[in-house]
Amino acid sequence: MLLSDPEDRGTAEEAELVAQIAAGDVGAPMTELYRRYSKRLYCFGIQALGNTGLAEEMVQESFVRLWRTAAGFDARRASVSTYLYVLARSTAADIRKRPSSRPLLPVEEAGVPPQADTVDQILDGLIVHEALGTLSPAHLEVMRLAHDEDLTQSQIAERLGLPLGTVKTRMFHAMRALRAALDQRGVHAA
Amino acid sequence: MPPDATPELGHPDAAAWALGALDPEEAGRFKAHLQSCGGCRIAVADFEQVARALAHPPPAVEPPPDLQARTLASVQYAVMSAKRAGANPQPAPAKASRWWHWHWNFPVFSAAAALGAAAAAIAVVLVQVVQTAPAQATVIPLHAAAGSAASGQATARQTDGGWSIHLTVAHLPPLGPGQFYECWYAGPGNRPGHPELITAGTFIVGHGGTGTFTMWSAANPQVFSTMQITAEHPGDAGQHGQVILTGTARRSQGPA
Repeated sequence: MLLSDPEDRGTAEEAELVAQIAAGDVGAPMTELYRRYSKRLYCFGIQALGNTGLAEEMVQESFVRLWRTAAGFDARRASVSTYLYVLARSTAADIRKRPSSRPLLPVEEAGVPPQADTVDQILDGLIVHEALGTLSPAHLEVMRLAHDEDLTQSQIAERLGLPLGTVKTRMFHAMRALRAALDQRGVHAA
Repeated sequence: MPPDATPELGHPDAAAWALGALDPEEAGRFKAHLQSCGGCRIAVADFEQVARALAHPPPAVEPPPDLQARTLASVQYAVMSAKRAGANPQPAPAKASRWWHWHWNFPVFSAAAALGAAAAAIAVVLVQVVQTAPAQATVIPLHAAAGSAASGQATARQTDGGWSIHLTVAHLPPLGPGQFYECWYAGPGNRPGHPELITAGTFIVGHGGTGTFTMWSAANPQVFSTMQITAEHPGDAGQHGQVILTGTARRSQGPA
């Protein structure tokens, strides 16, 4: 398993933060969860809604919904990360259905690419790129060469001076870890 | 099953196929293999979803610095609204069918009754507006930099819909054309380059630099516990001016 132990400890820690919010403490626990997840949610919002103003609104509403539903969160069924992504996705869907009264800053002015495909594909992208950060350097290097430089396994083996079998194993394990990240967050192959 | 396959690994080329990382010859062999291996087709479907996700990197942007303060204030407001709703439940509406039946049969009397009901409803609303929850008061003494005679005090009371702030100031310096004073709540993480601020409102004072104002904010002074009064120009609604007065909220007291 490529995902590191600190991730498991972090998951339990975040579940405790949500429990504190459910118990009525919306100060430090909420601030900490905001610190950990605001950027990811904001980036998701920009891609899903195509607008920085609406993305900001989505972030705010997602944390309000976290407070509202914290008492019903079950850490045995999902991680806090998964839960926040679910909240963000439904919030983005609700925002899309209604006009916003906020002054809108178009995505182009924020220097971000145009809105991507569907919301689920956007979320997939966010989750998988997050999970890349949990791969070991050896696995990450193989993935980088394949994805960013379009090298074949044979070319990667030659570049890194490794047996072809080692490259195949590392690539397989890396992709399986990324797939597990999608599964953990409740995303399954169509 | 190819010779280099292992039970836990499955087919070693499934992942590379999804990434397009097989040599042409290997790709041809694996494509043929897929025709007859359902397990590998499932594995490929899983890996292809990963490959599609890799093609959509998230944008490299940071949320605006003040979004944290706004978000936390939104949560605080939701908490207060929920408490208010729990403390002041709405009266149950009268049964419409009975009223309708009475109205249909007694139009003259029902018109008078409707006027009476409307007056009663208005009275209920006015009571709810005027009546405040047992208000906790938070006092925020404000002081200026050494050498300045400016001073002030804010008293924040939790009430319906947020916090009402009673602000008194004295000997504030005169402002230039177009300028105004602005009252801010600052959170614990507020620092240059990383603002954590919520505005409580703007005001101007007369030549004596003295005034008393009532403002409104959703920010809980126990969370955003530093108050600042700055001199601002119209612009992008951020805090840019010099801090004239500052102070820290004292612990909540009973109703004041």
